[in-house]
Amino acid sequence: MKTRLFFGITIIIVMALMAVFAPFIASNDPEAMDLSAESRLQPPSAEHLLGTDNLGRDVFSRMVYGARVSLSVGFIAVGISLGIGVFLGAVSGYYGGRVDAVIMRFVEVMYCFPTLFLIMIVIAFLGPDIVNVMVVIGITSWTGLCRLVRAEFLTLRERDFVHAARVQGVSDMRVIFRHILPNAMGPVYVSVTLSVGAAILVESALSFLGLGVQIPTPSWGNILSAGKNYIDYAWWLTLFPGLAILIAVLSFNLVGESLRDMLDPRLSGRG
Amino acid sequence: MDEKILEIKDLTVSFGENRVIEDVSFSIKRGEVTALVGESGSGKTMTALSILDLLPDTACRRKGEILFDGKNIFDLGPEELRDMRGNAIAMVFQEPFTALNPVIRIGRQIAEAVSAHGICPRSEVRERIKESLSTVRLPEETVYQYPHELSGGMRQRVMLSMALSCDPAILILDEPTTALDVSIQKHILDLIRHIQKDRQLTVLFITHDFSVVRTIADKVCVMRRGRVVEQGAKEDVLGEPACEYTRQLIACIPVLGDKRERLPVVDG
Repeated sequence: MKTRLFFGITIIIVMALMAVFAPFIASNDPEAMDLSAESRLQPPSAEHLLGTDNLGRDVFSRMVYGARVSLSVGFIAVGISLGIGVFLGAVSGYYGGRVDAVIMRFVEVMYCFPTLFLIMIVIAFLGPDIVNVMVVIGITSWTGLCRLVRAEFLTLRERDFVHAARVQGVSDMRVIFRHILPNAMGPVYVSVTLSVGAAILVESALSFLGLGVQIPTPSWGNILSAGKNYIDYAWWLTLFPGLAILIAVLSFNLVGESLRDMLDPRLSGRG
Repeated sequence: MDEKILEIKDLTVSFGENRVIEDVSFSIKRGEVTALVGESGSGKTMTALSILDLLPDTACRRKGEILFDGKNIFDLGPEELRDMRGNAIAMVFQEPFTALNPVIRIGRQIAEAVSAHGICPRSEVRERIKESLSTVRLPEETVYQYPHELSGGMRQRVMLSMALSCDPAILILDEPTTALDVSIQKHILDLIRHIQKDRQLTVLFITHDFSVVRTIADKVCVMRRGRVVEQGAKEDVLGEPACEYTRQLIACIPVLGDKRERLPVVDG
C-alpha cells in the first residue's frame, strides 16, 4: 500500500518538476518547425529523444511543455470544482431543509448531463481556449464533491462540538468553515486527487477532438491527435503522449486510492 | 440581590404531538445557584436549550416566554441571539469527550468564543485565554494541545474556561460532572463552587444527582415528565420534600455504610 502511494507521488513530483522547469529540460523550442525532408517524422535518436513530428518539431520538447498545460488544466479545473463543490455542499448539509432541497435538485440536474457533451457545447459557444477549458471542466465536475461534503456535514453538524460552538455564539459561517470543514476534509482529499486524474483525461480528450488546447500550444491530447494520421509509420507520435496520459492518470489514481485506504480504517486489510 | 435575571413562564415545547416540556415556570435570581433536577428524559436539557433558543428545528413548537433581563428571547433576531449566546448566557455540556473540536488546538477554541463577541482587542485575546485557563487551574501550555491529548477532567475544565471566558451573566451547566469519575467530579464541583462564590455567578445547574445538589445549590427545581413538580429553597426541598417523587429521588442517594440490598426504584 505504501509502495503504491510512494510510486504515485514520485511520478507526480517528477512530472510537476518537468512542467515547472520545462524551458531548461526541453532540448528544442517546442514550436520551432523544420520542414526539410531529413528532419520531418524522424524516429527517436540522440538528437531528438522522442523523434520529430510531421512538421519537424521535437516531440520530447513538445511533451515537456505539454506537461505544463495538462497538469495546470488538471489542477486549476479541480481547484474551481473544489471551491464550488465544498461551498455548496457545506451550506446544503449544514442548513438542510429548503436550502438543501434546492441545491440538491440543482446537483441532480447537473448530474443528468453527460459531462463531456456539456463541456463540448459550452466550448462550442465560448470557443476553444485553455482558460475556457479549465473553467468549463471546473464548473461541470463539482457535483460529486458537493454531495460528498454534504454527506459529511449531515453527520458532523449533529456533533456536540458544533453545538458547543453555536452555544458560544460563533457565527454560522465560522462554524461551517472553521469548525466543521476541517473535520470533513479526509474524503475530500481523496476525491480531489482522483478528480485531478479525471480532469487531465477530459482535457486530453477535448484536445484530441480539437476542442481543447489549440495548436501550436502543445498538450498531450493534441500531440496524440496530430500523430494519429501517421500512426502507420511514425509510432512515436502516438505512443509517447498516450503513455504520458496513462501514467499521469494512473499515478493520481494510485495516490487517491492509497489515501482512501489510509483515511478509511474500515477498508484496511483489503488493499 | 433579589432581582430576577431569568424568568421562564409557561414554557411548552413539543415535537409533533409529543410534549416534552409542559407549562414549565421558574425564575433565577442574580448570584444564585439553581439546580434543575430530574431523571433522564424529564426535559432538563430541553429547558436549557430553550433558554439559548437552540432547540432542534425538527417539528418543534414552543409556547410561553423566557425573559432574560426583561426581554423575551423568543422575540430576538438571529444577530441578537448570536450575541447573547456565550456572551450573556454560556453553557457547558455533559460530554467533555465530544464537545471539543478534535482538529482545533485548545487555545484557538477558546479564542473563538472570545473573538466571536469582540469583547477585547485582538492583542489582548492571548492574555485573556491564559487568564481563563488559570481560573480553571490548567497550565498555560494547554493552549497548544489538541483535545485528544487531555483527560476527561481536563477537557471539562477547558469547557468551563471557554464558558467563563466571556464573563457570562448566566452559566448553564448541563450535567457537567456526569461523564467523569467520582474523584474528578469532586474536583470539578469544588472548582465550580469556588468560581461561583468568587465571581458571584448566576448558575443553572442541571443534574439528576441529589448528592451534587446538596453540595452546590441554593434553590432546587424538580422536573418530571416535562413538568416542574416541586421547587423551592434547597433546605425546604431536601429537608421536607412535598412531592412523593422528590422523596423517592432523595431516597436513591446511596449513603456510606448503608445496609440496603437494593436502592429504591423511582416510578418515572
